[in-house]
This record gives sequence, structure tokens and C-alpha cells, in this order.
Amino acid sequence: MVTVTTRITKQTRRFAYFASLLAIFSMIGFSPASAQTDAEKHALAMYRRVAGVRISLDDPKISQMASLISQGQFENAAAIPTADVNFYGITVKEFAAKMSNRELTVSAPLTDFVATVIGITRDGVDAREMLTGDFYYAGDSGQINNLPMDEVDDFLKSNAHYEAVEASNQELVDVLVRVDGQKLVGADAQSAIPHRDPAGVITSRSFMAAHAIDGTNRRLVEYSMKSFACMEITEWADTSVADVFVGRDVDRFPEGSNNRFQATCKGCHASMDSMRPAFAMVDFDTEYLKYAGVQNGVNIELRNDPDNDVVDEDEIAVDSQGVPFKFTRATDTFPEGYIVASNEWTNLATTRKHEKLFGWRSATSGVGMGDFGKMVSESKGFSACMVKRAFESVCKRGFNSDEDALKELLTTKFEQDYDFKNLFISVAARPECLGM
Amino acid sequence: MKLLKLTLLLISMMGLTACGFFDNQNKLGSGSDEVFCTDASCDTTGLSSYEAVPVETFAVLNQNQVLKSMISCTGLTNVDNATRNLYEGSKNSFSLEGEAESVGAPMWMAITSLAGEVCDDLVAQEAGQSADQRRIFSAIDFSQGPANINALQVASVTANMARSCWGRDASSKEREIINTAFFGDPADNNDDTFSGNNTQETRRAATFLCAGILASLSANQM
Repeated sequence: MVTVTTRITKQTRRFAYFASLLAIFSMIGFSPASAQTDAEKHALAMYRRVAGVRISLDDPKISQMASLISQGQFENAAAIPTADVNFYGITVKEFAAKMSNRELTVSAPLTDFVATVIGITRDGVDAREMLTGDFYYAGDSGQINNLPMDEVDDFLKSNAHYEAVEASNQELVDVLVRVDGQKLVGADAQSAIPHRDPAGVITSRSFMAAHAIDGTNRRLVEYSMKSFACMEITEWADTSVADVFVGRDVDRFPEGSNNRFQATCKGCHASMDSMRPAFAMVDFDTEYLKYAGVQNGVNIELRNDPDNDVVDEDEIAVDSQGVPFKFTRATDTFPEGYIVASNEWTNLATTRKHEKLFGWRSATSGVGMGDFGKMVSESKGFSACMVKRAFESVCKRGFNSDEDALKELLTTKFEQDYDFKNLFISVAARPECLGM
Repeated sequence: MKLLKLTLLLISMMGLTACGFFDNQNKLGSGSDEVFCTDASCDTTGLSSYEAVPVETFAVLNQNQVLKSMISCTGLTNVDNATRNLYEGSKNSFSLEGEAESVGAPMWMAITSLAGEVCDDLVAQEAGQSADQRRIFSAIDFSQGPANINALQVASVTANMARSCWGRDASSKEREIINTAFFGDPADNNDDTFSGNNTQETRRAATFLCAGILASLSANQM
């Protein structure tokens, strides 16, 4: 009898434990009562939105922030949580992650792309170098034990280095170091050589792995605009753009009608294909980025089987122009189409509509990925996109349709120094952001 | 059976209150047209007369934030491997991006479990410290059984946890709920209270108090 009673008591205690917790969830959630001042409430909200974590009301930083807020010094107050390690480990990390992968999600592992954006933010590097710089950030082997550090195996052929940095559970702000000089895998597939055309995170392994794999390298253009200018291709599609650069693999008579091409296909391809040659030397194949002219080029067009573009690990499949074979697929679709013969490109997305969307301010033609990155980074579209992303990160919403003036104000401010940390501070200081 | 019904009722209440309570305005990710005025006709002086309109939004901690936030607000410095493993294993149950719409029972169950582990670690940490070094359990004597825990001590833990992880003091109603949960309902003859002289029970009692607050909505709101 005693045994049965004891068992029942333990069971009911377990249920009571859960029931009690659930009761607290449902009732405490909407019965707020506070002894905190408005300034403290504002400080707490600002801190958790910038640092990404909750903090005690009794933390001295809150009283310091509250004092500044009371004096109207909102930006000085917002600067305080940027010293929290979680600002880099959560807020900036997620800000970068959303730009780095195909799904545009925050749920992505640490990569060279993300680490570099964190480093740029921490060190106050000009944000435009995110798309032009010849450097990257990596974990410090002096601070993390047994960190995989082989340039080829752990940085270029896999994400092993960054996975280990993340698994170390150390604060990213403390362990990331800048490494000057991006690298490529050499001709022997075992050595690392200086990158021939660095473009910041565009030429990071993770961005290339996401968008330069298979396909026709059009995705690199599409996702560069999506990630760094916040433009979906449907927004910048324009059938008035000349189709002189549209590739041979695009059918001009889909379903037997040129009208269909003129009315829809041309809208995306005319602009996108004009910039695609910027990526004419690269192909992400067998786990690493190959570069035409580095790896031994195998001319697939000389093969009897044109669909077989499989090559050895230390080779790159090319066409008779020496360009990665992916630019030459399905060329019998429209043989009169544009032939990509080099990485020289001309951006045709320069109509009045495009000028208003992107705000180009530098050369809209160039050679290779570096020039492409420079064009995007110096556009007003890039600045506005970074503002939009920071705003969504801190304010947990997008801009409303009547907030164009606010967006313009923040963009202008960002362009005064192109400093990511200051951008987050500016956003968090705005009353529209926290509702206070 | 009675308690099972109560549990199911409370889960339903939580779901209903979640739907009705949260403000779904300004769904994350929506944006207006990205159009810039770049020609000479632009008037930028309008910015000086721009009037800010505060907009408050609601969000919960996302999967990247939830453990770090619990660590931050409690002052936990040593996170057990079991806690980290539980977190990694439950990650997909937490909100992906913190949207109001993501709140639901599975998420709260995962948060409850994680809060229990974090509080276990916190109790272990603070039990090894002198009272004046502790952030949360300064009033608890871990060398005694839970029979020695009185209302003042519970109030102290509640106040410390509330200010740390809610960012405010607990209301009288909230304190009443916590007291009832801890000491038991007199109508049930206080059958389920923490009692006795077992020091391990004291640690369980402390974990109970901590987890109840740490797993609540107010502690997981952004």
C-alpha cells in the first residue's frame, strides 16, 4: 500500500511540475507588472534586439543605457550592446548567414562567408570591401586547439575549418583573425595559389559552392543581386533590354513562338546574361572551385559524347574558347546566340527603371568578378539592401510602405562611413524600430 | 486523470492565448519597393521634416538565440555537455527566425526541457558558491532539505529570476502562482510540495523555481 501511494505521489508530482510550468507560461505571459522605468524598458528592448539575448535589469549596462536614453542619446545607448559577444555571435552572424546560402536562411553553419562578414563588422572595415576585398577571416589556431588549418583540405576543399571553429563553442568575436590573400586550388589539386580574381565574399568557397555548382553560372548573377542588392530577378526583369548577350542555350521560340521569348524569357535573360561573363572562368566541381587557366583544361567539344563533361579532379571541363564548359551546354538550341569567350562583361540592366532600382554609381562594365563586385558594392542598391537587412534583423519587421523617408535617411547615414556596426546602432536608435 | 485533463486544458489555453495575444503586424521579410531618386529633381530636404512613427513588434527567441539568452540572463558560466546535446537535438523545435506565428506547443515543450537543463547547471554552479556570489539563489541554503525553504526564500529566487530573465519584477499574481506551484494548493492538502531533509530535493526545488520562470513567454520574448 505504501509503495503504491509513493508511486502515485511521484507521478502526480511530475504532472504537477508540468502543469505548474504550463500555468506559468499561459498566465504570466500576459500579466506584466513592472517596477522598471520607461528608460529601463527601452534599454532592455534595445539591448536584446541588438545583442540577440536577454539581459538582467540589474546589469550596470542597463542603467547606463537608461541614463543615456533619458538624455536623448539613443545612438550612444545602442552602442553599448554591440560590445556584447552575442552581437557578433548571433546578430551579425545571422545578418551574414541570410546572404550566404541559397535558402537565404539564418539556419546555416559557420562558413568563410559568415566569418568574413563578422570580421568586417568587428574591425570596422569598409562594408564595400565585402564584395571586393582580397581577404577572408578564419579561426585563430592559437586560441582553438586542434583546429584544422590545411589551406587546401580544410579551407578550399571543405568547410572543415569553420565547422571546427563553430564546434569549439568559443566566441567568434574573440577567435576570428583576418587573412590577407584569397586562394585557389592549384593545378596539382594539392597546393594553394593566390586567387586570380578575388571579390570578397562573392569568391568565398561557400558562396561559390552554393551558386557556381552545375548550372550555367547565371545563378551567381541572380543571387548576387538577391543577396547584396535585395532584388528578386522578377523585380529587375525588363523586356526592353537588348538581347544581344542572351546565350545560345536559351530558346528564342519556346513552344514555337518568338512572342513568348520577347514577352517573358528576354526580360530576365537580357540583363542577367549580360553580366554572366563576369563568372566565365569559374566552376565549382568535385568540392572545390576550379578556375579556367589554373586547372588543366579538357576541351569537351572534342569528345564524341558532348554530354559527358566529367573530368579528373585536377582538370576543368572547358569549351574551345577555354571557358568552363557549362557556358556551352545546349548550344544547338539557338546557335546564333551570344558566345561567352572571356570574362569581359557589360551590364545592360541600366535602363531608367534599373537606375532607379539599383542606383549604379560606378562602371557598369568590366573584367571578371572583382569589377562586378565593385559595381554592386558602390551602388545605392547595395547600401539600401544592407540597411533593409539590418532593419529587419533589429526591428523584426520590414519597412512599411510609408517609410521611404526613413529608409533614405538610414541609407544616407550608412554611406557616410560604410560601417556595419554603426548601421546596427543607427537602426536600433530609431523610435520606429523598437516602438519607443 | 484529473491532472491529465488539467494538463491538456492548459496546453489548449496556451495555444489559444498564443493565437489571440500576438500581434502579427509587419510580418518579417516584407518590404516596400526599392526605388531611389537619383536625378536632380529629388528633394532630400523633406527628411528634416520627417516625423518618426514608433512601431512595436513582437518576436520570440529563435533557435540560435534561445540557449545563449538563457545563459546570458541567468549568468550561467559552465554549460554541461548534456545541456548542449539537448539543445542541439531540439534545435529544430525552436523557432527558426522568431516569428510570432512560430509559437506552438512543440516549441514550448522544447524550451521547457532546455530551461530545466540550464537551471540544473545553474543550481550546480551556484550551490558551489557562497551566497554573496550568487545571482539567483542567494537566499537558498543548499546544505539543508527543502522543508527549510520558506516563502521569503521563494520570493527572493522569484525576484532575482524575474529581474534577470524577464527584465522586470514579478506581479503579485505571478508571485501567487509561483507560490502555489511550489508550496502546493491547500485544497489538495499540499500533497505535491517539496519536503523532507534531502539536499538533492533542495536542488530539485531550486531547479523547479528557475525553470518555471526561464521557460515562460516573458523570458523568451525578443
